[in-house]
Amino acid sequence: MSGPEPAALAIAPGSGFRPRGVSFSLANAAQLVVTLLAVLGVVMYALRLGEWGDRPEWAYPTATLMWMLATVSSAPLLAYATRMTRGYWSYPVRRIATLFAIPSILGYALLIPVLNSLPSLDGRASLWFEFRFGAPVVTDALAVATMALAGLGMLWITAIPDLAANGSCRFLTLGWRGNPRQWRALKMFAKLLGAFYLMTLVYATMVLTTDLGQSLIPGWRSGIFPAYHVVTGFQTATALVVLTAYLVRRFCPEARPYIGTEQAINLGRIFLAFTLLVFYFSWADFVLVWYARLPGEIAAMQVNIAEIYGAAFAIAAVCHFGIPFVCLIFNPLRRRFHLLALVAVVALVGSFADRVRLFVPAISNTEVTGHGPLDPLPAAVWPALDDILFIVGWIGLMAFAYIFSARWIPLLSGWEMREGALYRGEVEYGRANYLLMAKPD
Amino acid sequence: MQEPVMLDQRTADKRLLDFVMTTPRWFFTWSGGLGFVFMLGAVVFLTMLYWGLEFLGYSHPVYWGFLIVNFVFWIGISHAGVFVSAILRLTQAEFRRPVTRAAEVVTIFSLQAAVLFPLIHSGRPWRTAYWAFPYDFIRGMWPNPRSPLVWDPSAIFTYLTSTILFVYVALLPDLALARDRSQDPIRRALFTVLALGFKGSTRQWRIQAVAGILLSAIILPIFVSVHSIVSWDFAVTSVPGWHNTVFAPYFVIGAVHSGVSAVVTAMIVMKWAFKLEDFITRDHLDALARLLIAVATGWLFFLFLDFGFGLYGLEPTEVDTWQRRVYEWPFPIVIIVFMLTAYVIPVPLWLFRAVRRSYGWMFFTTILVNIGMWLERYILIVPALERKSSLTFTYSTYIPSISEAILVAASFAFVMVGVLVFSKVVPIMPAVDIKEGMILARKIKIGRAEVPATIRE
Repeated sequence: MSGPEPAALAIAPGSGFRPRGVSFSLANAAQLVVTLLAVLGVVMYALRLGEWGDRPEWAYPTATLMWMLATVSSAPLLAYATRMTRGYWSYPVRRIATLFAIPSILGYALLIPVLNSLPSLDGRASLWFEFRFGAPVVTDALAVATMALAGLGMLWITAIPDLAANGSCRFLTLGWRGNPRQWRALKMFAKLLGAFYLMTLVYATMVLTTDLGQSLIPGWRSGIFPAYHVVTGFQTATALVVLTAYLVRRFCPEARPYIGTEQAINLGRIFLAFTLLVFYFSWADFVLVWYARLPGEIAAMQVNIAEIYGAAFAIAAVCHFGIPFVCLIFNPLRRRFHLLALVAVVALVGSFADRVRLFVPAISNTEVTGHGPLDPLPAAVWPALDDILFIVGWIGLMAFAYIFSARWIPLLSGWEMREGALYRGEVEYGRANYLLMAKPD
Repeated sequence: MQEPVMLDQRTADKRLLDFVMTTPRWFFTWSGGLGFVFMLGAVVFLTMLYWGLEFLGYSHPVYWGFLIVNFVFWIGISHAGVFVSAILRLTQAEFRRPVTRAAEVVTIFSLQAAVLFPLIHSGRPWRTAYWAFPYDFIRGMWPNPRSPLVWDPSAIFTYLTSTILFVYVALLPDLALARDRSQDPIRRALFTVLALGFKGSTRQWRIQAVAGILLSAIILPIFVSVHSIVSWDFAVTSVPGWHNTVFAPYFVIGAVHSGVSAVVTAMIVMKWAFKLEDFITRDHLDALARLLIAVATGWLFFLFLDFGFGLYGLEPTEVDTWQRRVYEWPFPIVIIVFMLTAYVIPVPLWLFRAVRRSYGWMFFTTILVNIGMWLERYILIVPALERKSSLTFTYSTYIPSISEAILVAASFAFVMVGVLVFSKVVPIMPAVDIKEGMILARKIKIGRAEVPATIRE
């Protein structure tokens, strides 16, 4: 029986459970490191702004941006999906996932200089055809802004009862009293905003992957490319939530009783499912190019798979798919949070290598006009020290934003956990005790 | 929450096995009528064997017409069974219980219907053995493993075998139940053989449950691979409009869209025909309609990717194919009807709870979806082949023939009569699964309300 841990059942109505901002007193050292990295990120970003308009200089920031879009921006959807499918196990990790809507905003700071550095759409393939509407700068910026707003909206709506309960940020609670009408409205808006966020994320991914990737390598045409990003994004977002949930469990004693084996098992299943989909989408892309052998597509494949960025592809293949798949098929591993978190780190590294092989050659390519094939193939641009510092610093900045926002918004969704506790119980059946679970409409 | 109907064991057995134990008069009328339509198709097929493919109206350059459209359509329908059954089993969704068997049976018969079409389409079906089976050892003729003509039979037969196994494992307890409840000696003998000595011992239950879970997990990759391979039949060719990397997931999600819709249609028909209103409730339709909203919207995204990235490179041949699809008579009409029926009408309607919970509306909208999805395959295949390419000197416009239409109708009759006869032989509702749902059902008191709950294993 995969029942709840006793501690999770202890959150009974009227037990006095009140969600509060999590104390990080046990994690001061880690917090200091994150703060230093965040400062490094700000400094490196300021220095990089000096290269305004110089496209190849923005190659690694673009890879970072696209990695952010896949991981950080996709993470809130895990909360939405489990809310829609009424996954009873997910109550304690929903807020952990939704809170990534805040660091996701930082992507905007990267997006603007990257979009500014793009060449004119004239003379090259584009998803905008003749209908420009300020594309790609205005259109893509609007897409990402809408997505970010939807994400923040979802976070805000789902946090209102907790903010009202713990008394922080009263101005955001809109006079919440918890009457039936307010609850109905909250649940409806949470669903609507989640659906809207999903749509905007998919749309933003589609336009960004095309404008910052495919359209800059003449001859590269792959319809599955945006969908590949969405699906790999779901995998890495799950990995990110696994890792964050593990860190929360590790460093926040208040949260530890609520994040346990049940969450690890279910997150592990989702992680495995998306890992399989990563392989499927990669294979569906690869096999047609390999079979058709069209010059433009083969040249693009030589750049981002075979010759030029072969090393990045190898890291991506092993870390993004190989290691996670081999590890996650074992039930015992999926039950252990620390091992699952380790696999998540590997997948996140693989995902970054994947974004490097796909976006660095595109952004650093100078011959962008025509319809291919790319000839000669551009040389590989490997990261310099400042690129590495930039990436590390930027990740630190995102972590800092996350931790900082957790000071104001509780990391555990108290109202959902209390609601979940109402819907579950234990029942004796035969000679054993079993979990009893209700799923109301 | 899907609240299971609460009946005592005896009543539940009687209601669930009623159609197996007794034969209403309409059964003979319907199976005879459908059998007649199927036989008409057989006559057309035999005539085609004598006259050749010209009898079906095929001429250069369109040799893939209704037959291949129908092949893709039935493969698509066949995806419902596994998607609904395996995924819902793995996720322990309670509403799966009355749904799974119908879905699985639709899969088995639609797969068989699908297999017929490439055989008919070959014109000389016996020659297909050269494509798929390494049998001509003496002359050293081997199938080409790089050809989709080899991939297809491999994938489809693997899928058919595993689906039959999947259904059979789930059926064992029901067959044993039917054996124990049968009065007729012939029927009893048949069920005794089919039940493989299942007596319901703890060990047998454990093995049956583990086999079910394992098969659910194993069959999912097969289910995805089948329609992907069907999509690659098209995508690996050099025909403009077909070479798109998005084809595999696009076909798979389209298959799930049409397949789940077909399952809903089949469930409503079964509810009407077999009087199963206690078991197929509005809650089930509601849950499946919600699933369909998500699937249909995902499918729309892939449709857009196919369209957008078809035109993306502005290659003249691709643009030409899409212009033909969108502007040249009669395809604009087909496209409009296809979009209206596959998405624009049903999905907004499903947003309304009243529609999701109405048998009539759900029947209507799911039929619409399958009309639309059939037309989608038509739009995908025919205009792309009709495009006149360089060095094409004989050229004609494809007009579907009556004989093709009869073959299409015969395939529908085959699937329907197959499901009907299957329901007559074995319980179409998973009796044991439904009864398990009743046993596990409880209620949780929250405030003044009682919420239906279930024991989770």
